[in-house]
Amino acid sequence: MSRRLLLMLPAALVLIFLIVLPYANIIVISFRPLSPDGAYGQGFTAANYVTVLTSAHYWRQIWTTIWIGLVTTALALLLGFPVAWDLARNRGRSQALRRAIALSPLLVGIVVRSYGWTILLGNNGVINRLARALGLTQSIIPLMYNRFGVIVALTHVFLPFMILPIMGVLQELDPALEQAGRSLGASPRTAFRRIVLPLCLPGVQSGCVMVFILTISAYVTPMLLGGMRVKTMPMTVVSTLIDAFRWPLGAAQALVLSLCGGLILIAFMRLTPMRWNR
Amino acid sequence: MTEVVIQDLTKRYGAAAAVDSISLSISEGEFVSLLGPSGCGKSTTLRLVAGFDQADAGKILFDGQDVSPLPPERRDIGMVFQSYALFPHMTVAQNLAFGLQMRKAPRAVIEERVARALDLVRLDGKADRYPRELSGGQQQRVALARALVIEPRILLLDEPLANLDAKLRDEMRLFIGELQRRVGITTIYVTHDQAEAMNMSDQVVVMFKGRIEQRGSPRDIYERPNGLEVATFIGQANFLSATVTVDTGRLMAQTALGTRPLPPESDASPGQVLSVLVRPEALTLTDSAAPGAVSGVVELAQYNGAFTEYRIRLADQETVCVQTPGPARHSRGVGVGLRLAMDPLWPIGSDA
Ligand SMILES: Nc1ncnc2c1ncn2[C@@H]1O[C@H](COP(=O)(O)OP(=O)(O)OP(=O)(O)O)[C@@H](O)[C@H]1O
Ligand SMILES: [Mg+2]
Repeated sequence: MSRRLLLMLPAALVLIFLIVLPYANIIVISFRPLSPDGAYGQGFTAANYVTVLTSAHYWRQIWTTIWIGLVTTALALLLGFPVAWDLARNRGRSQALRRAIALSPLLVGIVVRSYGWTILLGNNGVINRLARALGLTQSIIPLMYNRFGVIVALTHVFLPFMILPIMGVLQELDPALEQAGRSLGASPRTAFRRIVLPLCLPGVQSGCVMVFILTISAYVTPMLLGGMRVKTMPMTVVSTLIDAFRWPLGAAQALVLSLCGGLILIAFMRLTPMRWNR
Repeated sequence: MTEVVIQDLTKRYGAAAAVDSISLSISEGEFVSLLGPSGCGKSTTLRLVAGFDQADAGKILFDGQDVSPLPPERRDIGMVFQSYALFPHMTVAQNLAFGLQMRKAPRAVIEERVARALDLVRLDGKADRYPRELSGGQQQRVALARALVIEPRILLLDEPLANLDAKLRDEMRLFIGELQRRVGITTIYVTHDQAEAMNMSDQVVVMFKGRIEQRGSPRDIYERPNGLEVATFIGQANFLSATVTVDTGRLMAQTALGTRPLPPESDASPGQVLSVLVRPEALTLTDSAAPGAVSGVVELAQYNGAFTEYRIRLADQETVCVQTPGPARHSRGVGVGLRLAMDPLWPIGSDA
């Protein structure tokens, strides 16, 4: 018994110091009063939560953040699934190359990739200039500084996180399962719908959860592509914490967003149960 | 029930032919095994019959109808896979119902037939389990029931027992054989285990390197193999060098273990030297002094429980393998007498 505890110790320490303590600290700070001369004052108050929860302004931002998260996740799934399918199923000499291309966004930092999109989507960017040069339009096509630009860039940035888990389950899937379905009279489409799709749900689920979490907590990409005109909650949190130096309010803002995201994830998990997969 | 005819079927992967122009006809209700070493094209043949692969040449006929253009779902087959391929997200009953749902059977019919199929494989009471909650043997029976419940025209099995332990394998072997006879369905069974093929089949098809080497009843294959490869692949074999002689109009083979007749259909000519097949259990051991016995020396004696396997060196330095029932009665280095109880002797090609 004591040996088992000893073996668990390293993992427990990592968990406590890297996850539990920082979280606990944020929660504590979110209940501290604001202070004019320092990050926060002494004592405890619920005032920060009252400020966040009663402000239509914050609720709008939370909604924007979550809306962008949901749309990005859906888009990433739509684009990522066929790619994962191709990478898992179509073998041959180009498989390694196709994999490298699909996952290459991971090799370049988020900042660089987001800047890349500003070059493409900017008012004076590649696409707008091309459209003008070709005489397609004389005015500026608004591709950036709106939700569209933010979502396009976020989808690209986080797409590998959708592809990887789905590719994983598809690779693990015994090809005989699909064949068994066909031998029992299912068309390729029916075999896909009744057998392949339900069995790769765990991968779809992890992919969606990851992309959603990454998206609603994304800071750099919405800032660069939204140019302060698309306000998402992480941007507000950062400016409260750093510009306004109001830690308790920033902590409360962050926790309310986390809570909303968490509730959506719970609902999502409830909607995609996998009883056979315990 | 369906008659299956395969004509000049060929499947190439790159330059190599996995299946090389094989022809085979299987009558209604017959149980045929495809037997051969790994990589000889058994599974490929089965996949072509099932429709998972397209042949490069040749035809597959079910009751005279060419099924080559049909996808697997339109061929009306039941297939059992080595991995069982049970749908892990469906219960046993749902697995069985799947094929019937695809056939748009009414709910009441599905329920009734699923229950009957579960009864057939003695799994009633397990209907609501998920596959992972069953033992290997039970999963195997579910796979069998799922293939049979749709009452397909033919049943295809690809090494269905390979993942089971030895005892369960014997049990399932009996079970599948009996079930097939009861249902009376035309069956193609792929295996590399000769005991499975011999036990269950009406006909055994021995394949090597994408070709059919021999087709016949289990007894034909064992006693009258048409070549060295088949003879060594099926069971243990001794090959004795023999000289052909004639005795009162009959062709005889003169071997170190005595002279015995050759089969009447043999086309050997007197004076010719050839190999004859002697199975280990056709030899008996006696004391070295016994009259009429050929003497030899025990080189190796291996006890196997039911029988003992000896390697005996003869006077002319040939060695033969002998199996006798029960424990070892002669130890290494001891002189023994050998008797050949086999008539006629089966020739295996000529000895150049
Ligand atoms: N998809 C494929 N691509 C390339 N070669 C293949 C493919 N499938 C089978 N082969 C080749 O065809 C030959 C026959 O394969 P097959 O699977 O039919 O053998 P088998 O008799 O079933 O062997 P085993 O007992 O190992 O299952 C083998 O040499 C194999 O390498
Ligand atoms: Mg095989």
